[in-house]
Amino acid sequence: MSHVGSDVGVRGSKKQEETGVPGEKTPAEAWLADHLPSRIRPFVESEIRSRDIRDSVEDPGRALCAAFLVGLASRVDKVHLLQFDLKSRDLIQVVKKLGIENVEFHRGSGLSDEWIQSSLNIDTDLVKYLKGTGCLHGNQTVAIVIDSISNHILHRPTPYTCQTIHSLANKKNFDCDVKQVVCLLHGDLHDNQQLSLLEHTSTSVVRLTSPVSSHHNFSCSTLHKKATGKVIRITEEFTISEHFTVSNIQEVKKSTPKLSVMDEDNSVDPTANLTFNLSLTDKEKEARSNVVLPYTKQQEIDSQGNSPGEGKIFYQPDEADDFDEEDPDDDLDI
Amino acid sequence: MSGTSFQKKTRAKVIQIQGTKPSLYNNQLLISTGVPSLDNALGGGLAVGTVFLVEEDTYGNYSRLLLKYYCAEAAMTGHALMLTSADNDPEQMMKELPAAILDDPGDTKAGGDQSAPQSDPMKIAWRYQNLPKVQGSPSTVKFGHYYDLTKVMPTEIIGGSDVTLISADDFQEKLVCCESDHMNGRYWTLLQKIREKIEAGNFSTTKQIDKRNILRIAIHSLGSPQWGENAGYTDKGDIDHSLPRFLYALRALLRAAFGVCMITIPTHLFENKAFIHRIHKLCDTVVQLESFAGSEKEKNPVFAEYHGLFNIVQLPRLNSLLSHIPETYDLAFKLRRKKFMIEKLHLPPELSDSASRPQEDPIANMKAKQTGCMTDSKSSKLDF
Repeated sequence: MSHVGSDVGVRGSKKQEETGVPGEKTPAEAWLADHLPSRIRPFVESEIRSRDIRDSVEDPGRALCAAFLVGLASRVDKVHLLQFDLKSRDLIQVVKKLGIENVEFHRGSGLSDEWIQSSLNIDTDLVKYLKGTGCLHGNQTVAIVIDSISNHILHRPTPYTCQTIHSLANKKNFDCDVKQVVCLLHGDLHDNQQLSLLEHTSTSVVRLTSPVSSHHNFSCSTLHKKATGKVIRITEEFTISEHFTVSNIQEVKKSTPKLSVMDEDNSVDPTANLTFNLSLTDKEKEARSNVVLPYTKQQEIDSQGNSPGEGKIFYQPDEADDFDEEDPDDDLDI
Repeated sequence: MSGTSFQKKTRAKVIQIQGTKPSLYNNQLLISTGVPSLDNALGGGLAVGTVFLVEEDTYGNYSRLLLKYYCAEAAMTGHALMLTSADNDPEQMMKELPAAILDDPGDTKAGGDQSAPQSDPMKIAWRYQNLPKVQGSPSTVKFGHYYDLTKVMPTEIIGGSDVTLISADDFQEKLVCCESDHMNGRYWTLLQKIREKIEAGNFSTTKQIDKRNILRIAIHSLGSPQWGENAGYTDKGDIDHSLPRFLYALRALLRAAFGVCMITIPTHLFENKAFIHRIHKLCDTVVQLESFAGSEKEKNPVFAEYHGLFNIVQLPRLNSLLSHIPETYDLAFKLRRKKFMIEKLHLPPELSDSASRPQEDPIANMKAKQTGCMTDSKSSKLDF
């Protein structure tokens, strides 16, 4: 598999914009259909309410999405997979191949109500739909995976989709405990404003990028907002193996530490290699501290009597100072 | 001694309401924001009848905290409170209010300061020995409280005050009936609720009642996607005037009421600069929080002491041509468990030259690189 693109953001490009339906298979996607996913657990799960995986044509995120799906299936009682992309079918194959039983599929259409009559399409109110199917009940722990929400954003104002994700992740809306909502989003189909609104809504954003080193197949930069207010930004490279495990996770360090090393090399010690002496030995320092300097006397006076902040005025009147109570301006020549 | 026409000027009668004080500058009635150092930076507090806008930091953590302090202050002073949030559950926010510290932390701090300098006499800069320590905020607090973030406010204190909570669910129900042509339905609903509250609680200035109280309105993350705000644009891509209209109407309501409104808006979501300026102008006091969390500045040694920058964008000019002018506009905030402090931004005493500092950072560049008798050439280390 070869990654040609250098970065995610080839936004607004490609044929997909016109139809709103993700188009033909890229070579990378075809590869992924065969070699699917695994698990990734970068953070403590209980804190995470909703999560965006953002991919692009060059760096497809469906494999990672499937990795989340498999990972979630092992941790919660039931995973609901809502499919709106044509390529979502691959996820069904993965689940079947691995023999995972607690995933429920909701096959939807990426088209709007006007074009297709289907119980689940992009005009469906997802909260109502999930309630209506009656599959969210009891004291189950549930996770919701949406593949993908790009069509929703293309067809409707972005805030509507943000509200949908927000209410899906809201515990009050369902009887059961929704642990996590994972959404796949094709980042190159949307403009910055739409992306920033979604980023604002979700608690963590995983953005797929092209890996730098050849040892890894995937690379992602993760932004995670903890409930405590701490924000984690990390770029990692990893491999998704045939047994659907994320392995070989390695953090990609930025090049800034290198720069500071260079700085240290440049900063020279000015006292080295001089023709005269600028440094003091301990003995010399002691001798210096014993020298009586002009202000030392003043310092002693200060330390003896007065408490800090107080002062005294010593004044001895001479003959000219005939101070008259009645007329204080006596000495002025008016 | 008679026959003079001189009459001693009597001050206009200031209404006595709990938790308020008259301003030293223009005799406006002020209330505390719940953060004494913030009151100090704004010239004493928030004037009654005004709108206070906090531009949220990127992840909204510190702005939410400020809002909590403001709400906690309402509970402590007995003011009526109206809390609205579409993103968070207001009930949950009320449960998380920090508890007030009733024994004044200012006293213990002052005591510590006096003993500190004696332990370490200055040898060379001895003239500076007895200078008072720099204090970001007044040490004695009679107005406003400090809050302890590790403790939650006891429910009996909250239960005693008049609290109205409006969550996103309240908007959903009414959305159909009052979707208005000129304003987003959620804003419209909120505006109606505020109007009803002012009427029902006798907060209007036209009403004559014996015991006045203040209505504190807190609106969390107004203009976030949860309010249906599409970053200042309509679905068709035109500029959406809902938010400015809402703010305009809100200010008009408050001018005739004993109420103060604190709003946090995630302005970083709006790309249109003119739209943000319009929002500024429609509020009275505007401050901006710039958190270091998740940004490069977090690791910058210049800002090691602080959690973020505090920018005063606009101060109100109330009944005068001039606003309060703070000592400095270079302010930063830091968060301790028992104190949220806004202070003058001080640079650390010395930065080693080897510390990595990115070039684009303006403050880091303020420090002159190499001056004096040194030249830039690396071969000679000291060049006279």
